[in-house]
Amino acid sequence: MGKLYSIHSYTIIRNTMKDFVKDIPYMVAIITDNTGARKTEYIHGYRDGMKLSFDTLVLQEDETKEYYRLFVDER
Amino acid sequence: MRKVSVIGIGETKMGNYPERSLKNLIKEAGNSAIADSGIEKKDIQALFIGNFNSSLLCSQSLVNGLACEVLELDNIPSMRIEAACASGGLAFRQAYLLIALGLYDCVMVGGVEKMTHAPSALVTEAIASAEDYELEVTKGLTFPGVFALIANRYMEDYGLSRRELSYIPVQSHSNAYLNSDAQMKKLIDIDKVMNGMPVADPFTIFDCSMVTDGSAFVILCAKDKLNQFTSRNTGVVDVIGSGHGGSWLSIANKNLTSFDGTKQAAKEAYQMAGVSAEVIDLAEVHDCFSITQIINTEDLGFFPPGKGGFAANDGMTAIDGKIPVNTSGGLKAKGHPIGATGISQIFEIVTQLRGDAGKRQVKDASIGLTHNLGGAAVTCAVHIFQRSE
Repeated sequence: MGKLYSIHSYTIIRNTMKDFVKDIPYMVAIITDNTGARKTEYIHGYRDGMKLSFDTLVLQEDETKEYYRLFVDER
Repeated sequence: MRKVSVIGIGETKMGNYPERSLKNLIKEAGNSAIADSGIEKKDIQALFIGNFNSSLLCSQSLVNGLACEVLELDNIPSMRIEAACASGGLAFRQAYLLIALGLYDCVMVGGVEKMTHAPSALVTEAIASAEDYELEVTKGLTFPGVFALIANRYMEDYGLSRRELSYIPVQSHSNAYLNSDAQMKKLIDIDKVMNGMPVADPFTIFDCSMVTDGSAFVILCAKDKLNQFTSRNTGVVDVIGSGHGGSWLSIANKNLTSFDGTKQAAKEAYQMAGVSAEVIDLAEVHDCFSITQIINTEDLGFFPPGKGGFAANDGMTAIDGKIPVNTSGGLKAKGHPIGATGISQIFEIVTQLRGDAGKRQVKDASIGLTHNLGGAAVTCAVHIFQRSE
């Protein structure tokens, strides 16, 4: 399943540095794990038109990899 | 500690000057401050200058030496202060402290920045150097993105709407319209702000301060030595409080809706001055983004937590309001020449306390405050000024 994080805050970047221009629009969030520790991460999976809120969760499927994506519970 | 006074001020018009050099900007603002002070150049014992990005954007370091050369100040100690957007405010504090401690009697302090000649992507990267490169920049977080994270958390916690946030730049543009030194002299309305080019949600381009070229300088003198250096007997403004606060570089584990650096610096400055927020007649508050002004007006004690945005919408920060904020137009519309911004704020407060602010003059202004922030509230300078009797 991997590790789930809650969102402390988030933004959608629409004007950026040259290394990230190809990604626009993209999401960056401060995410919180179950210990309360927070970190800033690039969040994969955002598309304009999606409904985002502070209740949205973020998933790190493999805890050995710095790859975080929006979590949609499809069960 | 000795009392210290501001006896001279000078600045360029803030703007988009790709054809002007650092030297050219420094020369105009510096000589203007010296002329305004009534001192002779030989009386200046040291120079401090705030500058953020000239090493990268202008291939020029040691702008302190450059300033001394351009202003013909020979054989005096000088130093460049780099504290991102707070470079100017902290350069001022160094000069203030060294006079107050008795090391010098007369010091020149200023700031300069030149950015508009550089490609916007390079300017964006240069400004992002005020973030934690490893923990934030490599994750794609821009500097506007940092404050967008702050804005979204604040709006969620306190219920401030996107429309209410938009009032902040509207007021800044309205004030700048009355300031001949301002970069942006176009009135805007809330719809214009909300429909502007998106930068980082919730911000549009109108929530963000300008990319600005400009310079500003002031002359400081020990109050007990004024007669020795200048014949000026009006327009002297005393520095009655100085504070410096700070916190970590990265934002993830900081409070996003209140800035510890601002609160620390304000507490120190208020204590030194022996005053509270209630007696401040006007303030130049760091508004690199619309949300920044709101949070800082709360942390400075002008409004309770969560109320700063609503208070501004109710007219309490207008020129004729309870506590006029950014009568100059602020970073948003007067301009944000990063290393010079803190000095440009002091230029406005001294102008107001002298009664020289024209159509944007705050009636009976006696005590003013400047607040200058670096990074995501990483370092902060607060100064309090009083019209000298």
